[in-house]
Amino acid sequence: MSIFNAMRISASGLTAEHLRLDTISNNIANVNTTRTEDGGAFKRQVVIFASRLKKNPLPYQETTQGVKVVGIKDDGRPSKMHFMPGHPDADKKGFVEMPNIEIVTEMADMISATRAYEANINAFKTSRGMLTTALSILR
Amino acid sequence: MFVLGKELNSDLMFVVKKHLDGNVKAQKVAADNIANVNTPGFKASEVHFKDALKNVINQDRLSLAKTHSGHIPAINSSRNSFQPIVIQKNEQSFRIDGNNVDMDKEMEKMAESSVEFEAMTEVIRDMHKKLSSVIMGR
Repeated sequence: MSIFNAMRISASGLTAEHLRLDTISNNIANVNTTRTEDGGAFKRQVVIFASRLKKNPLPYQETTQGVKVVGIKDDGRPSKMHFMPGHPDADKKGFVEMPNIEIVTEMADMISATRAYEANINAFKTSRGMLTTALSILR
Repeated sequence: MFVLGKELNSDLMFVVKKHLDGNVKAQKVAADNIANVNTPGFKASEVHFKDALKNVINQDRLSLAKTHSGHIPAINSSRNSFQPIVIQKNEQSFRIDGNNVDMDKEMEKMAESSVEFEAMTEVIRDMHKKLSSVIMGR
């Protein structure tokens, strides 16, 4: 186990939250998107995080810890149907398929991701501070 | 002078010097990666030197042992040409522009390099202090 393990773990947290923030921003940007490559409205996306810790590793194996992003998936809930008869993407009954995104939910998630990012930065700075303090013993 | 030469060219000094070279290179490469965080198609690079450095030292230890005072030592003169290796990482990323730079990871690498650099300079400072007190007599 490297002395830099704590810093690397924090870095993995930063990467994950950064990607989560990107995804949330993408959801907000596409809140009114009615057309996508797969056809139909934009679907809200969520990031899936997984822990990197290997349970009961063999003695010679290094235990990497931290978080990794396993994928960015569509949230499975159905799209919202808005009645907009004049819209180019309206169906025969005048309903347009709209993304299932609530701005308020995305804003709350954004705050959560930001705070998590800041917390990881603090953990990182603390770890680095400890190493630098250890070095100053010799001076 | 002979004693000084032995100290300044010892295995320890060799490792410290080459380690410093590696750390400087690693920091440069991390800075380069960060500078290119928005370049489409850019692939991040990383620096490897620690395992190779370990092998060089181990090889020297396993080389010809002198069992007789007349034996000529086999000095591994190629050890001074040891260089850190820069490898490009071709992993995929979630970005559509083909760029795979992870800003947070590069910052962490820079922090690692700077802490290791400081540690190595502490070793050198310590050695100089010892030599200096021997030379000055206090």
